[in-house]
Amino acid sequence: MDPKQPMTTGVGPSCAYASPTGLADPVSALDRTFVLPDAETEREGSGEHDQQILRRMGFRVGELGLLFPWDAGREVVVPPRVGRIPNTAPWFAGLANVRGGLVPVVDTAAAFSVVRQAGVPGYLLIFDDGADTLGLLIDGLPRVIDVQASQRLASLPLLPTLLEGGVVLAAYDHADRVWLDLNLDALSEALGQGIPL
Amino acid sequence: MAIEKVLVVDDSATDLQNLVGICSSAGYAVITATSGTEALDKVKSDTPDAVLLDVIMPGMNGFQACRAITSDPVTQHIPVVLVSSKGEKTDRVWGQEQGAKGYISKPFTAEQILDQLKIL
Repeated sequence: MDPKQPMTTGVGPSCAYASPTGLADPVSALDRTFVLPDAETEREGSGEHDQQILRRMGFRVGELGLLFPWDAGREVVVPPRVGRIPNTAPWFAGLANVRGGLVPVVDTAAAFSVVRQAGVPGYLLIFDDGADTLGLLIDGLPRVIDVQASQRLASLPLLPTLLEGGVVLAAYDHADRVWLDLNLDALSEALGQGIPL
Repeated sequence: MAIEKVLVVDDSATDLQNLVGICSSAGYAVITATSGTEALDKVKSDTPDAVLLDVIMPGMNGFQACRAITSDPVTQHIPVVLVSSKGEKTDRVWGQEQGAKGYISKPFTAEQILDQLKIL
């Protein structure tokens, strides 16, 4: 994904993060990119995503707005010192010691090929499902976001490579921004596969 | 809502005893738990009026326990106050986003604990 190119919703005017307004103008229509949901996305779409309001935690990485289930995050900390690991992807920052536990840290902006927000403090968002731990460097603090079913976009926008393949369950147009709802298991798997060089 | 019964959750015996002493001496009925999992059980079985919840605990941490309490329709009316040695702004914000009604950093004073219980 070209960080200089704003992500568009794929519908409506060609300006970034525009709300769907119906028909696209001819120029933007020619540039439209559709990412068809895979089977996993379809299954998800027939369940929780049909609810009227979904409670999520939202965070920013550069221009990306990302959502995850409200009850999934373990904690947020000021980024600790990270030890690099040789022969790993450039976006894998390394391992951090968070109160005695090792946390793999992903430079999310680098992984998704976006530019971090200038002047916004970075934090480490940690997920821990009991078996696996994952830390994502993010811009600013996560916030609770309630997205509505009516805000769901008909198709996913053009996604960074690491977010393809079922990692994004749905996209929502909320508060003048596109928010990508993450499948954390799929994200963890995609990142894990990409770490070794 | 008048707070009469308080659930104190801390894996540190010292901090637990300290909190129990503060609450008991002020006239509150106190029940205790030493883990997030035990706290979830006691919130349902003992129905406290408020929960003082440590954050850093083995297994389920205080944030996760707080989220479980505040998202369960049976227990979501019970106010949770996080009590932690994690005193960063990030922790306060994260705690608030998990549904906590208050956040007290360790080391705390008896006044801080009792003032917080009064305003719940």
